[in-house]
Amino acid sequence: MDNPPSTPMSPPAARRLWPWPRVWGISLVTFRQAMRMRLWILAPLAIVILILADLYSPRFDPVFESIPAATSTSLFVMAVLAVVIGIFLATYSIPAEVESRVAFSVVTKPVSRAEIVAGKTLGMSLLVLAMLAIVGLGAYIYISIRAGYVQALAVTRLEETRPRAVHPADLNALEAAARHGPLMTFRYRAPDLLPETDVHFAGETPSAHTVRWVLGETGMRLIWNLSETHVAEWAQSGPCAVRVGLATRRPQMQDEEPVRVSVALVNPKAKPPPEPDAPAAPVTRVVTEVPQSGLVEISILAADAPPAKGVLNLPPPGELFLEITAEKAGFAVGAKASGVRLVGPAGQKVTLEQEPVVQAAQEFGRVMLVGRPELPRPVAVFRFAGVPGGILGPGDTAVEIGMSVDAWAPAMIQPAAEATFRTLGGKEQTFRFTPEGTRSTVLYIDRNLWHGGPLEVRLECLTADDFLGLVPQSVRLRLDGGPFAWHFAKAGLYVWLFGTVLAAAGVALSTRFTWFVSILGTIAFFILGISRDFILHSTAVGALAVRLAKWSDSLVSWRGWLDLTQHLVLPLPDLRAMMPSEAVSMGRVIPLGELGAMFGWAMLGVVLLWVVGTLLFRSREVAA
Amino acid sequence: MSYPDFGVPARTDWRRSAALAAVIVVLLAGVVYPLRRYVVEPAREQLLGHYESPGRRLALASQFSFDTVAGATIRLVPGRPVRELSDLPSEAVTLILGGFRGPYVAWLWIKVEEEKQQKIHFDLLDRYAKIAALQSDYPHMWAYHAWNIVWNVTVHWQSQERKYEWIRRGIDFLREGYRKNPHDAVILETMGRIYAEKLGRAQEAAYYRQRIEEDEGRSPFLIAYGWYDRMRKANDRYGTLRHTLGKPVAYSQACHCLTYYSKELSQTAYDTFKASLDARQAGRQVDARRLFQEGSQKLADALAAWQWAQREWRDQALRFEKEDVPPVLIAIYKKFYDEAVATANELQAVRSGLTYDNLPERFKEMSRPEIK
Repeated sequence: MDNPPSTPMSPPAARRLWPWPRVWGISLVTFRQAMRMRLWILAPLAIVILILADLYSPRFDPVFESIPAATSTSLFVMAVLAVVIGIFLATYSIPAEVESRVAFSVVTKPVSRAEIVAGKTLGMSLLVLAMLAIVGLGAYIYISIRAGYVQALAVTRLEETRPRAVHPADLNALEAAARHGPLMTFRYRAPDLLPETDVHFAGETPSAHTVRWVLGETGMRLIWNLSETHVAEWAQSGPCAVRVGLATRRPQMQDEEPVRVSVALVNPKAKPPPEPDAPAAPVTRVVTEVPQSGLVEISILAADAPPAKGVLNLPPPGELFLEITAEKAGFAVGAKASGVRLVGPAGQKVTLEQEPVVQAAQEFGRVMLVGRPELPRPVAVFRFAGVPGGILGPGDTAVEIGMSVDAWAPAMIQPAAEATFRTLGGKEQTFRFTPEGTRSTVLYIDRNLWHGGPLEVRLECLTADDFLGLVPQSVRLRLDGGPFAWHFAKAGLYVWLFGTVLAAAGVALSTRFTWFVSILGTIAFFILGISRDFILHSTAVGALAVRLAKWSDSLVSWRGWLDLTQHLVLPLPDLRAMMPSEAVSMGRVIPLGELGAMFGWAMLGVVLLWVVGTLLFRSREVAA
Repeated sequence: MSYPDFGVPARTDWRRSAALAAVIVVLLAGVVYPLRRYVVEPAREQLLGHYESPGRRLALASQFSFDTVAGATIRLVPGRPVRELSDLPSEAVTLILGGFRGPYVAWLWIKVEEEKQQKIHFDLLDRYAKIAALQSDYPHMWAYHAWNIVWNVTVHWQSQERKYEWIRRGIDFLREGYRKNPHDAVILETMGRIYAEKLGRAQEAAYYRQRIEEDEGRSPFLIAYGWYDRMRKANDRYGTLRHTLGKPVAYSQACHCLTYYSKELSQTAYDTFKASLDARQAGRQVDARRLFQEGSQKLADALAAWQWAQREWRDQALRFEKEDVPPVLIAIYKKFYDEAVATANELQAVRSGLTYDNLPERFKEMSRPEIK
């Protein structure tokens, strides 16, 4: 009897090498199974819920809040739908099939357990995508209809408000809503650093000269770092001196009055002594007049030397800074590079080459910019270095001013601020506006003035006694973000990624446990994932991660230890970070890079959960 | 050889379970809600002393007609709450949200605090409304969020118009809390404080007082007095002030409001007389006489207000003398009483014999009190 001719590989074995058709087949079956359960009913129900929830929610300002709120509500309802599918449905499929013994016929086929878990996860992900697509479409139609009403409302509001507007720029945001409708999206670009501070004098360009100025009673200081000098050593052997060459300016009406400055030596890290008059205070200060020559000389003694009038004692050892402030409002003092010379007891001389740093008053990480109705005035300078012209796009380019105003002026005085845009070529555009709340002042840059490259935004407060609190994001370039539909779709994709991770967790748990236990487990996963940030920052788990990171860092210095230890002690995805933020609802587009990164993290989570699910499924007896 | 019984998936199983679950939910809702509404809640109200007989309700309604004068709705009359969806007992809300009420409320609290700090306002009111719907039986929630809106959110805005709009939202919010917890002294005290401190004495008070006059037709101090007085009555009857301000301090707020109200009227009288003198100097005799008449009327109003404040301070001091209150607090009551007596006497002296002709001389004796 002849043996049948042997083939190198039979067709089923060939299929086993490429699992995609089987995974795709299982996912389609899972998807259809869910559809047969008429789960699609949840989608129109969600649309109705989101419309009702939005319509019956109170809003403070319908023109500017309606669309962000409707977007936020839509994304929230979509997320809830994803949670419902992830918790209740993704955990249902496998236990139901095992209980009804349908699984027996599947696992006995040439399909691996890993393929089954992958297929189920993919099917659930497809289901989440389909449901979110339906709800997202409904939400988009609703938002578009609502935008029409909001635009009409903006037109009416604009007509009412125009006669009362103090500055034309105050109406920019409202005009934009009336002209283009409220479905606007934006890309932002913010400077990374706190603003520099400068002084705006009447009739001249302040930064055109090399002198760095500070203004009296504004909290502005000229600062030199003396930590690297030998003045502390010199002072041990005898009195030293500091000579500062200062430029001065007086208000016109007070030509005769002398300019007085406060000169201080500061160690910011030293602790204050227990008694106020004890030696070695962290700050020692002398107030002196600036002579006609502009040269101020102050003697410096050691920290433990008896204090004397007009002489500075060194603060405790450590860091050492020289600070100079003008003593009276409207008076300005300035200094250039190489303006400070230290003289030792044996005639040693050192000239500091660096320019002084000008620092404004700061509080809670904010620069506090003092307001003055008349010049000279403090100016906050925000710099955008090299904005490529290509990213500006065809739409309007605006600068959005969002700052907190600490109003101390009498209430009936209308607050005012001034913003000046200055380009590299020295062209300028100036606007006056009423600072109102946050992120509501929009100023448009003339495209003939600036179309990319460096840009300087100079901000001044024109109201006496008011303060502007400024952070790096207080001034942002606002660029056109493209169509709202695409923006909304990207936010929807974010929610889909969130739903996919949750569904993967549900599937992974359901491979080993019953439906009920899997639901509880997925809820626990969801709650822990949502509160991961809170757990890491407010509980002993987070403290343990910090301790581990410190210990590891003591062995090998690496700045990524904390991230790593946090992931080790709490190996869960940060589900909260996977939800679109309020800024997205307010129109900030999600950059493709950010979306891609989120996709990568989500896929990593899904793959890990797939591995866990496969291992759990393999350890389970399914077939009889 | 036996084969496993693959069977056919029972497609109707989940439907039967769903139907069963629906029946259970309907039964629970049909039994629990009526039980709560008609049996448990009246018994609880009776136990707490909140239950009012129909006659007492009528008396309270007439006492609180103050509100209807101020433009409030009939819903504010205690004892006659209008039931609506958010008035469902908290068990019903728990049932509707499938046991997720607690986590949802906790999440909402976290979000409102975050958004307040980040100055994101677009759904702040909505979130406050949702928290209120879910925790409407919790008076401190109303007081806390109303405080937040009125004091902390308003300062995110610069123009007085916007600030005033936010304060009005806070007042509306707290009014709803009052409707749902009509006997709670904490809510009443917070409302009084909003009118007296935020609208009556804040930095922007001149603008707010003008707006309140336009919107509610009365001085914010008078409205605040109404709320503080209600707070006193609610606390005397139900003891709901709990651990906030001490009783003598809280009760004195109503008296302070009357003092401020009297000062406000005195200011108006002073300003009107000054305007009359200015008109006389400018040769506008008709205007000057009209303004003099108005000033005289306002002076009479101010005098009456001071006498009212005087009675309030005296009555409260006498009341607390009978209670176990430290003498230092009684002394404070007496100090303000003496001030009211002295000012009333001064105004009486100015008013007696005041004529259009002797106004320039008598005006020199007048002073404009400051509301500090």
